[in-house]
Amino acid sequence: MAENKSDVLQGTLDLMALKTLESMGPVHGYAIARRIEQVSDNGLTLNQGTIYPALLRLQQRGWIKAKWGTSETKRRAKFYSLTRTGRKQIDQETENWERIAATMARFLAQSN
Amino acid sequence: MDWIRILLSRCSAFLHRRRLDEDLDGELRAHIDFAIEENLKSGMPEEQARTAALRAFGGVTQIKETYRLQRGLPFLESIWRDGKFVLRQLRKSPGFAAAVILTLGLGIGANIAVYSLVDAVLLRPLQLKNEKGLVQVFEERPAIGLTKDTPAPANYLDWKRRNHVFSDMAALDGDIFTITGNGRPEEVEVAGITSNLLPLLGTQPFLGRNFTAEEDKPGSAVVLISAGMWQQRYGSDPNVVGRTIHLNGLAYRILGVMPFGFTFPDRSELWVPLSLSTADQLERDSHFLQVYGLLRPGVTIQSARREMSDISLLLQHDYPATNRGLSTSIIPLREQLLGGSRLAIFVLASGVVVLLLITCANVAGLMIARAANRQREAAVRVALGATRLGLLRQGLTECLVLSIGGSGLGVLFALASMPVMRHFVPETIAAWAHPELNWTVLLFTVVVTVTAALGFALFGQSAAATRPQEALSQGSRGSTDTRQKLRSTLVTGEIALTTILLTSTGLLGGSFWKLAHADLGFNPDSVLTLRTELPVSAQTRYREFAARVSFYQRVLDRVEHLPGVIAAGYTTFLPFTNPGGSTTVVIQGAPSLPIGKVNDVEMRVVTPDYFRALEVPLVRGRTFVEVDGENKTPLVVINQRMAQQYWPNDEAIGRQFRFDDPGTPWMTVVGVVGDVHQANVETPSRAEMYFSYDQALSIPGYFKPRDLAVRVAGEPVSYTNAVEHAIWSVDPDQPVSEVQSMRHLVDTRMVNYVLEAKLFTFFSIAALLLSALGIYGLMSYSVTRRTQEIGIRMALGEQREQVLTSFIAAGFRLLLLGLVLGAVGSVVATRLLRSMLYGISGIGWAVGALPLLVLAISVALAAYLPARKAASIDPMQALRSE
Repeated sequence: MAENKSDVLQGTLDLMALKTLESMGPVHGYAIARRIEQVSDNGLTLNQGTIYPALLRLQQRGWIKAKWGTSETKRRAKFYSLTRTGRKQIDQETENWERIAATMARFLAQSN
Repeated sequence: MDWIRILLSRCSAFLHRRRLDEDLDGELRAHIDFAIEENLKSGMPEEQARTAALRAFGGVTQIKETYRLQRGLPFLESIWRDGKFVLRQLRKSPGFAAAVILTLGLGIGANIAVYSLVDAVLLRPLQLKNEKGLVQVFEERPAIGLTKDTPAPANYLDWKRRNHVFSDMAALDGDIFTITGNGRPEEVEVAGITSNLLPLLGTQPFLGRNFTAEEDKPGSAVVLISAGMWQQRYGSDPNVVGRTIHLNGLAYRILGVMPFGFTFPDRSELWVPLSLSTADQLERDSHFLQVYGLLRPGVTIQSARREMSDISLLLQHDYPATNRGLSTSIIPLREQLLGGSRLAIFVLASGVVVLLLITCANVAGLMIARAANRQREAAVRVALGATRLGLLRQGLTECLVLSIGGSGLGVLFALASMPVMRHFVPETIAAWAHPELNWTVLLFTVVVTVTAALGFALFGQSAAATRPQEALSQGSRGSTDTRQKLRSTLVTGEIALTTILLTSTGLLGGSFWKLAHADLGFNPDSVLTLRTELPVSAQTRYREFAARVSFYQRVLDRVEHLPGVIAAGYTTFLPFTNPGGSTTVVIQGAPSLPIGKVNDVEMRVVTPDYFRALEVPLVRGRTFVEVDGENKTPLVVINQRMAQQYWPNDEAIGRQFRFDDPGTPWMTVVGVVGDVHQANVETPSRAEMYFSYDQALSIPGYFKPRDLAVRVAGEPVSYTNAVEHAIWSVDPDQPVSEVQSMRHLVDTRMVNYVLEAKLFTFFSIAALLLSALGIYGLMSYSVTRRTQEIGIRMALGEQREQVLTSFIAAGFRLLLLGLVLGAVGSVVATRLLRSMLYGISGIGWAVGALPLLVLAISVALAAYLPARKAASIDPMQALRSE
């Protein structure tokens, strides 16, 4: 078990989930977790479970909504989708994240 | 505004947490299932697929916990959890829970109940806005023994003009008017007031308006009516202002209606302008006003007294003929109005405070005992990693749960007590005195008691939580810890407080009881009374003495012949209605009196059967007979007090005296009757003389008989119609007023004694119950705590009886100490109360004995029951007990 697996910057996971929902449309929690793992190409190892508090956070802010539905494999699961506010919010959050990343990059470059 | 949305979502989640928990479980299960499914597809064996799925997910419980923290209101949820835990704990010690809840309930309930009654009967009627600076100003003529005399108008006007200490002065003159022209004539008490009196008192009509200074002139026919009259006579008509009422045959315009309960100065129903005439304004020899003043802000009553005494000296100099030796006295209005009940209110109010203290002490003791008992448990939990804050929170939650229960019970008790309290209110004042739940006072009481409970719980818990090692090593074996001492102090203090409260309330209650049942000198039962005030103005025939005598004779003749009537008699003033009047006399053969001393004797004018009607006992000689009117020698009947005062060693019958006026004839004593309490029960009877109604002596017209007393068989009030018709058959225009039974009349005047006696009784019982409960709780708790010690002592061979005796003895040592302290306090309290005590001297044993017995029994039971239980179990088990 890699140490501090879940210790990912809070906003990171939120934005990843938002972006996933934007590209995939309504999906359940497992699919979001798998998608994040695949896209990050196992460069980011996180406990899949941590996706759920993140999803709850997004729900509480009204950016995504959840509904029980049935998967292709006929399994009952909770499906998440973007709300209109959430869709608008993605650009803003992306911009925020890029600014932080750029700052961080500059900072690291200088320190070296 | 994200945070509002988040908060709302959290709140809704808190409310639906059970359903959401199931929801989350389902979602997570689906997640694992998806993962297993995918792993199986990739060719893993089933067991491995499952393990891998769970590993990828991470700690399920951890995630759930994080999720829950994010989802609901963690703070509230932990309180909720604590609450549930506390309820479980309390179910394990129902005795403790019951003691705390009952103590709080009783304490809060009793306080509110007593307060509501004191407030309704004693405080609210006196609520005058400017109360603090209001005083009544009297004339005083110490040389002839006159204190608190009503001032003459010209003096009042001079005071008002010359003083700098009052922001305003107002005056009042009491009168009796007959309401005419609207059915049956009725007499009512009227106050003629200056236009500034109501603003001075800080009150105003609640309907209509006060009259203006312009309207305070002779000939102005405007009137303010009481709320009672507004209800009864005008059916609470909101348009009553402007209507006309006929008073003494004149039309008056109603200007306004005074607030409920306002009957200032005593029992007034109408207020008219004082309207001093020009002649009145110069009058210094006729003293009939009641004068009130409002002190300027910052002026003390002492400086007001100084200035008024200076003004009096100036007036003495300017008007020597009328004002020689005349000074003033100033008395705070509240003191004047409350009279004797001022101290009673103070005692009741302090009683409420003491009751509150006892409640707090009870709860405090219980809380500390509880904390001490849980010290070991707390220590174990701290050692196992519970945070101290968590423990404190739990302790406080427990206290809070109990406080909510106790306060709830207190409110229920208070609500339930309201009808009982209304029952306490005497019938005669029930029209306006409504005890009501006062929510402010209720809130205050709850806050005080609950704060005390929380404070002591905090104190106890923090002590338990901060020294876990000590507590663990000692366990509950440390029986001599500080808490034990604190508990003993609380028990002792509580016994002392209770003793003081009980002796004070017992003595006061007892003395009010005695007052209410004192011998009045007459028998008020089975007597109908009413008033026929004969008009003596120039136009009426009753101006003539003979016409009045004829009226009395004819009325009495008819009344006496009514079936069921035993005796009927007229008097100038019935006992308890009016102090009457007095005059100075000269005793024949007595040495002349030193300058400044006079023989002042009360007087009344009666018809022959008056004494029989009231059952005033004849001691010696005879009372009047019908033929006395023809007798040329004026005859007089005196009371025992007068006989003892002036002829202490001789027979009074046959002795003579006259009015202190050389022209008047000598009067002969024909009989001696028993002393009657004329003014009230507390005041001892003074020397008194009775004259016959049909002997025209030089007695002022004011002293004509007006009150009729009829002794009957059966219910007096049922004779009202018959007696009234007998009167109207003699004179159809004669108003009849004040129709009531003598018992009712007396009860009205004794209302406060009866009420206060009941109140103090109620109070004593509540206090006694509370302390018995508290002492029992504290004692039994501390004994239970020493179960181990009992086990050790019995294991070491001590006999069961010895153990029991030692515990009871320890209990009684506390009782004794408390009683000694209480006795000292009681002596002090009794000294303070002496002026209020009637017929009881010192500390009455009978009063002290019963509460003492109850306390002793409570202490004995509290020590005995738990000790017996502890001593009856196997010593080994007791040793292991926690």
